[in-house]
Amino acid sequence: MLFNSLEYLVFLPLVFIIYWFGLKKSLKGQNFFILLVSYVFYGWWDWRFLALIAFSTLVDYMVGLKIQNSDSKKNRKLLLGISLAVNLGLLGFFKYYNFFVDSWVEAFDGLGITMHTSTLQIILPVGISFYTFQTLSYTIDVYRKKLTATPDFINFAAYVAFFPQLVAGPIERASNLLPQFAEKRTFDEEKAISGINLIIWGLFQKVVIADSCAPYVNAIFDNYENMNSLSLLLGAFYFAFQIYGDFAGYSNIAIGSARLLGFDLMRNFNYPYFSRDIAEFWRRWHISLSTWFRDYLYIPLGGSRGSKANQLRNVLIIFIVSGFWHGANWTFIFWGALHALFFIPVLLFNVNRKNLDQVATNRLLPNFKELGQMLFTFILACFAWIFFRASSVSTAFAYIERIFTDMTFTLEYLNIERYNVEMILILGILIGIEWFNRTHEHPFQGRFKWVKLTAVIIMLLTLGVYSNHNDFIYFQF
Amino acid sequence: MKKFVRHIAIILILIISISYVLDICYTYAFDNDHPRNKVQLTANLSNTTIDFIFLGSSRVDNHIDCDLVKELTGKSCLNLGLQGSRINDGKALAELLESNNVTYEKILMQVDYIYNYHNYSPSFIASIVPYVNKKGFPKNLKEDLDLPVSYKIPFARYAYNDKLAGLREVILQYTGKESRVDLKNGFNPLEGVGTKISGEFPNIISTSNNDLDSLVDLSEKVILFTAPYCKNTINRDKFMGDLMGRYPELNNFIDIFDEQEHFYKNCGHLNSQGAREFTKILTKDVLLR
Repeated sequence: MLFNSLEYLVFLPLVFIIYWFGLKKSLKGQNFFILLVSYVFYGWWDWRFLALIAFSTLVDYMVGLKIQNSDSKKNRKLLLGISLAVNLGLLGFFKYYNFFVDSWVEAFDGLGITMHTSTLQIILPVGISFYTFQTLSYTIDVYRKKLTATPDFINFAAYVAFFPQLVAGPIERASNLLPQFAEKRTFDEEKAISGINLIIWGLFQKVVIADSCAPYVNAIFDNYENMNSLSLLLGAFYFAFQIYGDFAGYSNIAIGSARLLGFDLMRNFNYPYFSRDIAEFWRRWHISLSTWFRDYLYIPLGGSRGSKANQLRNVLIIFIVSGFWHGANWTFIFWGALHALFFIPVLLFNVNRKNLDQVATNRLLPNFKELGQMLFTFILACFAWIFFRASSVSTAFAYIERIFTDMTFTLEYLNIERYNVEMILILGILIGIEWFNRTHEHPFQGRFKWVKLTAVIIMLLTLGVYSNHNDFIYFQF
Repeated sequence: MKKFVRHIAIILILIISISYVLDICYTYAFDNDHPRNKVQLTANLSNTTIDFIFLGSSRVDNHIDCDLVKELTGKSCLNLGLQGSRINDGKALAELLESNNVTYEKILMQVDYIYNYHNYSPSFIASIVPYVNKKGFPKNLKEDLDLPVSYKIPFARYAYNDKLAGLREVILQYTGKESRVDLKNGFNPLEGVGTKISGEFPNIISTSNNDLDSLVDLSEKVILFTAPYCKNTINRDKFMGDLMGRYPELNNFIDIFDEQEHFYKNCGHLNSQGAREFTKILTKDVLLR
């Protein structure tokens, strides 16, 4: 079930009504209901993979309790190892098996040795990367004694399968979300209103921004050999906003939907394209994944402690693993490595925690220095997005090469019968709205909130793309 | 809960009222005397006579030069061929013409492998939706279109067809921007010569096509014809043999340019030179005979 579908438009109000009016007095009933509707939500795509979630849930539930009840360090380690092996094993099999086999064969081919092997027709279960990381955070935190294992199976299963964030995050920590299932929830009007506003804003980001960008991006990337330099630059620019609108939109709808049920999920995006350096970008982009890697990989590796060489190694590892998390393709690994490359100078000069505040605080506009910094960071991000979007690393290099060799900078009429100026105008509106609301989580605040809400509803109706429901890009990860 | 219910109620009222206003504005934009596509042209035609009306897919749109037909016959002609069109679309246009009291001497319907399609083309649906609630729109056509129930919600029909009946098109309608195709002629020629062209027809012909049968039953003035399709098309002759078996009256021109590949832009479409040559042949063989 997609957030931008008619099914969800019926599903969410129904869940809301039964949850608050039918099960208001029973916390257990509410939690069981969440589990049930979450499985319905997931099963809408492919019910067969429900068994996978159920299995992962059962393993981590039992491992969590056993770790808690075990005094032996060796046993605790062994149990954690079982959880890691099961979760990462499933993820590895469904997501990376073919990639490893293909890469292995190619490597031997390069040495002149022909290997005969076959890859399997494996369907990637939607959201496997997200819920796997979520369950891992639970067992690791229990192992580290930062969290008490829950004896309530329904609560734990509902935490793993919680439908608003099951398929594309935010990747919630057990320490934040799981206790919320144990507490009695009362209806909070302000929270629910902010939830509705976030859903509307998320829909705008998805159906107006991301889905409008999609045909332009496809037309340019699929036909890059015939495009001029300006179109290729615009292709990267559009993709930057497509993936942002798509993913930030999904996250906002997820957070909004959770708030309607009385839950608080972590913020996943904080106006990343207004970042002044790449470190700030990563504090604002896919925050739940960045912080996950920080807590469960970067810090255990030594983090920013130790020699500079160790720090550089850690940065390289975390970014490459982050790239690999996105998909079984060298393009994602390259994308991650590029970000590591952008990050290293910031780390070497100890300026990675320089820009912690919001840009141009208490000012209407940024100064020239801030503007230059934001543009530079945005250009770096766009450059890396080319690798993320391209079908292969060699295609990405060919795309970039053509930008610098064609050197024609005229606006081309694309074969999708759309003018670039239309898209640039829509993106201008988004940048304007976001800039003037960058201190808030969504624009519908303050004196003119109803004016802004009305304007966004008009844009949703007139500029939204409804003719074909485009999947959310991050579902594939 | 009161404040929340009020918030939701205001948003719903906003959505409903804006949708209602937008629906009126969009419908008004498409209901004008300056059509930008052939469906719009047909929907807005009334109480007139056109001697020859051509219906079909891109093989009418790209192949029939109505100016040439007029020159050769001295009679009026209209090319209503639509890109990606199917037989249902042609039948629907004929019904619209009928209900709008447009009289004609002949309707020429192009048929080939599109015989196997039994649905309306998405682009036709997108182009027809502004008129479905219009007074006088044929009731049986509305039923036959079988539009989703959600289209009864104000503005939903435009939202779901945003590519062809969306804001962009509405703005172009209001600003009076001319269509790229001269709709008075309706001929949309292709340029260039294709090389190494080839194609494929379905292996099996559909058991029947009720829409084509009802179009033929609609009037004795309906003439069926097939436009040229390149020689290197798998199953072409077999499919056409089967089709001719069902409609012996069909005017088959599929192979007339088998030895003149320079007339083709690609396997399924003639270039402008080929199109004019085909128009001449068809006019002489069918309209002037």
